[in-house]
This record gives sequence, C-alpha cells and structure tokens, in this order.
Amino acid sequence: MKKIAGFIKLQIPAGQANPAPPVGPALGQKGVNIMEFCKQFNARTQAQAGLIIPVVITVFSDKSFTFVTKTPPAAVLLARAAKIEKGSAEPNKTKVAQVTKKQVREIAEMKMPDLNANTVEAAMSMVAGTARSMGITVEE
Amino acid sequence: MPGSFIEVVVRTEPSLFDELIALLHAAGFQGFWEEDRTVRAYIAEDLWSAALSDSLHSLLSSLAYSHSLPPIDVTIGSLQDRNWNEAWEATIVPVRVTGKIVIAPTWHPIHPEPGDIVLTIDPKMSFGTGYHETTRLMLRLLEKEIRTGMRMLDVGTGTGVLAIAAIKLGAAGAIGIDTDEWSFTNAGENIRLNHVADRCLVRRGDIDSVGETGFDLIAANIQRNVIEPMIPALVDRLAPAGCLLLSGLLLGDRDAIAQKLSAARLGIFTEESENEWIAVGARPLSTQRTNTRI
Repeated sequence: MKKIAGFIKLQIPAGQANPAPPVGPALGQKGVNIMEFCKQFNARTQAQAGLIIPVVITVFSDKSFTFVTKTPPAAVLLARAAKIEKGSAEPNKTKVAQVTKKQVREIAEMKMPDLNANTVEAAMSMVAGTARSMGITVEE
Repeated sequence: MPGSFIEVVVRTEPSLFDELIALLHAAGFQGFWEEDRTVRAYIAEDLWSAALSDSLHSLLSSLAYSHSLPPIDVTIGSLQDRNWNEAWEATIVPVRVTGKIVIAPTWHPIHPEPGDIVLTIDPKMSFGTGYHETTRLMLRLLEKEIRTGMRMLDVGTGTGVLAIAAIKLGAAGAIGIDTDEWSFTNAGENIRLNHVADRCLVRRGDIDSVGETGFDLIAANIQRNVIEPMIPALVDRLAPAGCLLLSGLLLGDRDAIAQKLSAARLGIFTEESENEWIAVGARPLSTQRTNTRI
C-alpha cells in the first residue's frame, strides 16, 4: 500500500482546470504532475461546466495521486440561484435576495450525495438553513 | 510569459469556508485553495480593481458581522505565474510509448535501440509527455495512420509532441496550435530541440486561426466538451480522404463523440483504449468501403 504524503483541497471551475493558481502552486509544491491532474479533472467534470467544484487530492509518497470531486457547496449554488454577489451583513434583519422552494429542492437534490440527509426534505432543510445564514429568503 | 495573479489570503473559521468561497466566487475570484484555517483565493491581476478591493473588504466585514465574529484577517498579495511543474519535471525519465517511439527530456541520458524514434520533450507546464494514457494512445494511432509526405494539424498541441512525432514518422509538414501561452512557447522550444523547425511550426490560437485546409491528418487530444463543437471546423480543414484522430476522451464519452462524428458524416474506423481513456480515428463516411461502427 502506498504511503500518503498529504491532501490538497481546492475549489475550482468544473471542466476548466489549468496550471495557473491555485492548481499550479498547490500541486507543484508536492511534486504532482499538474497537467495530468488537469486532464483528468476536466474530463470527469466537463458536464458540470460553469460550476465551481470542491476537489480533494490525495498525494502519495511516489508523487502519484488520486482525487475525489464533491458537489458544489450549497452556498455557491444558492448565490448562483439568487444572482447575488454578497451575503447580508445582518441576515436576521436584512434579506438580500430570494430563491424559490423549487430552487431549494433542485439544490438539495444535487447535494444529496454529500449531505448527511436521508430524504430530500431533510436536505432541503439544510439548504434553507444555509440560505438563512446568507440573508436569502425562501419563497413558499 | 503568462501574467500575474492576485492572491487573497483569508484566515477564518473553517465553518465559514463554503459561504466565503461562494461570495468570493460570485465577486469574480476564479479558484480557491483551503488549508487548515486559511482560504487562498485567486484572480488574474488584470481583472483586479480598486472597486473589487473595496467589495472584498465590505464582503468580509459583512460575513464577520453576520456570524458575530471579530474582523476577518486578510492579506492581499501578487503572485507571478511560473513553471509550477518543476518539481515533477525533475522526476521524469524516458518513456517508451510504442515499439519504436521513445519520449525523453533533455536532462536524462538515453540509449536508443536501432530504429527508435526519440522525441525530446521538456514539458514545463504543457501537456504531452508520454506519462498520460491519451498521449500514448494518440502516438500509437499516429504511428499507424501517418504516411510519408502527409500534412498534419495538431489542435491543442501542448508540448508539440504529436506534431513533432508526425514529422519524425515521415510527414512533410505539421502545424501545432494552442490557445495557451505556456504551450505555444513550450511547443516552439521542443520543435527546435528536435531539429524539425523547417517542417513543423506552432501558432497561438484556436481552430479558427487555421486558414489552411486539406490536411491529411488532424489530431486533437483535448476533452470531449471542447472537441465536440469544433468537429465541423476540423472537417472543413480535412482532406477528402483525411483522417481525424481524437482523444482526451473517457470510455464513457465514446458514443457521444461517435454521434457527433456521424452528424458530420465521419465514421470511427479505429480506436484504442488504456485504463479509462480512449482515442478514436475517424474518416469521412464517403471514403469508407466497409461497414463503420458508430
């Protein structure tokens, strides 16, 4: 079994990884073949183009690597759905945007694989909680 | 060489990372690196502005306030792009790709067998070293399909490895194109290292920058969602009985790419795979006498 040399956690655009920062400096310092990572990441995530994807790269002592991609953070999906550039300074008092319940359901369904939720309704509740913390209201 | 980036280093609670990244991404930052209690966010320097700086500080203040946290620590610096692949480059050794093609960097001694074709490639930050399945698959197909005197176009040339190989396998001329500045510069360096500059040239640009037509062989080792919309433009530049070699494709991409080729009246006549990757060769259906599997 190969010895793990470390982990690298990035969030980068799906299907568009290139050796510019953060990929270059993050992988380069561990001696990983940057271009090979970009090729694999882009091929595997090309269907999600336009979204930012969390990826955790495991680097082994022989400089080889594996990686797993996760679904985009709920906050990223909510910001995109609500078309906002900024959360609320006072999310309890000042609401900066609104999303529909249908949008929350779509986000919850996408996030299901990475959430500790047994049902879509439970996942929707988590997504709605993130929305509240950002000052985004959910339209009933 | 490639430009500079603004690096914003934010130190805060990891529980805020996702929300912070969502807001920075919406504000225009393009990539993020998470370590312990730090998020590094990057944006090209030419996209940075005083207004974005103000927006960043306002965004961080709002985030801290909304979560009842003290002011968030942030550092803004500049980062010059450079060859980040140097550490990996130092580890590469010659790779035998086919029975006769060997790829080697300049700094590694090599003792070729009689009949070997040695491609000297110093990759820097370009793709095409022989370490990846798709480069090996493309070189195997190229070795089978190239004929003496052919004209070849390599789209997304990277290190220039396929264009250089085509010349060394007998092509009369090859053009490599790439939109990436690192690759454009690096392919030029490798063309000179291999002493094929009289028959092989590299240009910076996409397929629309290629005015020439009638290529006997066109290669593109990129990825499916980039190749697919390009197929009509590739076909326009292909000789009537020319050959198109495509890779950067996963096994699961095969049927989709076959359909796109079919729509352009091309059929797959050969393919090779290694692990999860595949390369295909296609020709105009009008030139294929036998049944073509699509």
